[in-house]
Amino acid sequence: MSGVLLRATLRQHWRPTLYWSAGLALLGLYVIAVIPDQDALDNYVSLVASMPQPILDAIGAGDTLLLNTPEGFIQYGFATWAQLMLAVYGLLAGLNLCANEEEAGILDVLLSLPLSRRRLLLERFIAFALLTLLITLLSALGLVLGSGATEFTLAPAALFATAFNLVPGTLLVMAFTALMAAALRRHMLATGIAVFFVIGSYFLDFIAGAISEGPLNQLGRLSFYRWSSDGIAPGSFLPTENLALLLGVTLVLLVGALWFFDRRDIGL
Amino acid sequence: MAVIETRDLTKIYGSGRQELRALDQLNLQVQQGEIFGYLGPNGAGKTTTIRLLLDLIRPTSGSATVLGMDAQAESVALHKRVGFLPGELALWKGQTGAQVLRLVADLRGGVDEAYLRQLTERLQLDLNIRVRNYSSGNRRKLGLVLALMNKPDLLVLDEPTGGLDPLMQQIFHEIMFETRDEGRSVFLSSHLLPEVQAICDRVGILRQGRLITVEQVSRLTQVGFRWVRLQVRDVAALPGRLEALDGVSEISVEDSSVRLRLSGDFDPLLRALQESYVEELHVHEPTLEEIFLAYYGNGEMP
Repeated sequence: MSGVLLRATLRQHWRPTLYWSAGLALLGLYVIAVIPDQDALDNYVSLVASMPQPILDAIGAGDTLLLNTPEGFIQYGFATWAQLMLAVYGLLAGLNLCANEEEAGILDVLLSLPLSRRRLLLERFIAFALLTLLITLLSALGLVLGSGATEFTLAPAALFATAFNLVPGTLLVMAFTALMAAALRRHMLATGIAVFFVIGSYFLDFIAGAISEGPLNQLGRLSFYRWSSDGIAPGSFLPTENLALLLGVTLVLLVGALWFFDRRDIGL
Repeated sequence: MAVIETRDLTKIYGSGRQELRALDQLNLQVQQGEIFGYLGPNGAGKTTTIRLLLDLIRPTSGSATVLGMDAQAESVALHKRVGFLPGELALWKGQTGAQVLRLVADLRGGVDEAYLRQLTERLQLDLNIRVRNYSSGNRRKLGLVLALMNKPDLLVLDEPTGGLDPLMQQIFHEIMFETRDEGRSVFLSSHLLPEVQAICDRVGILRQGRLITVEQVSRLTQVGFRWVRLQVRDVAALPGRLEALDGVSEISVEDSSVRLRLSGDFDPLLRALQESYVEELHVHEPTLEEIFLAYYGNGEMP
């Protein structure tokens, strides 16, 4: 692997990466600005605690004790929404691996060069994985800078962990979208299924969160959001089993995408 | 030595009622050092052939070797020695011409920079413009530079001169001749007969996915007829007078105009028209399909 395409992808997409980073950093700053001190946090928790339990479960704030710490509040207020935003990024990046260029006809030029289809897909995937990492690092930087405006002492490592935990789920969405784009020749259909996957996973996790037990709750395990957030102590990294599962599924999806992309006609 | 050789190469799109046989058992040989024109109307299978040769699509059956290598199994090694210009060239719109050239040169593992400069100067291509701001002609020039930049042993060009002005077409022709003189080969797909006539040594004619014939250009152009449409005031009497003329055939009347096929000189026709009041006279060259039918009757091999 020469890395030429990897570097070119990084060059071509640095600007949108900065926009995404800025968006997430602003979200982080907003979340931190809401809780400048312990009084503000206590007031917020009291407000939340006054809501009926089913609603709290549904919005993912069932454990009010978790919200009672700044790290827990950031986990709830930032990570939940940032994961949804990054899922959209993952979807767009998945389409940018090959599907958009195939739709535009650019792949005809690229694949007439000494470049295998596998190398094309892999270098692009690695490039977008690095860009995803960059986005989360820059957004974590936003959290760290924002924490200076509060009276809390927030460990930078905990804030970086919160942001880093968003990466595996984003990669999974990217790989899923790449698989759809590789397996289905129609760009619109692949995009539609990927959108359904992102939104469907979100609602599956949302509904499962509102039901404490039973089959519907278990269905939530099919959602990647569950594995990106479940069982995480505030300010700590994803549990190893969650990380392994998310990356393992990503790898399987990516291998599937490579298999299909290597075997099908281009541009039809 | 054959630089392109296909054996029963077939491509079928879709299945059942949707099935379309885009290419049907193509057996073709293109020799080293020749400019080979690949002719046919739109939808004949020209682009499908090119996409198969470049491994962009996979054959339903049959096989192809290019520069002695299997077009599918050895595509990466093969593409190092091939330059390609697609019919509909699409590139990254936000990149400048220079950025596109740099990326492609890097993916090719480097190119001769002096030759690249020479090419861009010769084609008068400004590389500091973003692709989205290039005119169609300049985009075509950029495509030609991309195809030529690595001095490929085989150039595969799909409708290469669309959008180029006459001066640039002339320069393009010169480059093609130089390529041939250096012992390299060109496979040029086109539906424009004059372009093929101007630069090709041999042509293959494709119709409905089947290769009808491969012929020297000089033989193909001996057909020599054209269509004439006359608009005259006394149309009723005219066909009778024209039928007897040498070289005139297929006369048809529609309202006040007469359409006929004329072989040979114009003089007998013009003399026959002396007694008529001619309002309009249109002459147009036969289409490739018509030349083909004139040459081979109903499309069967002679």
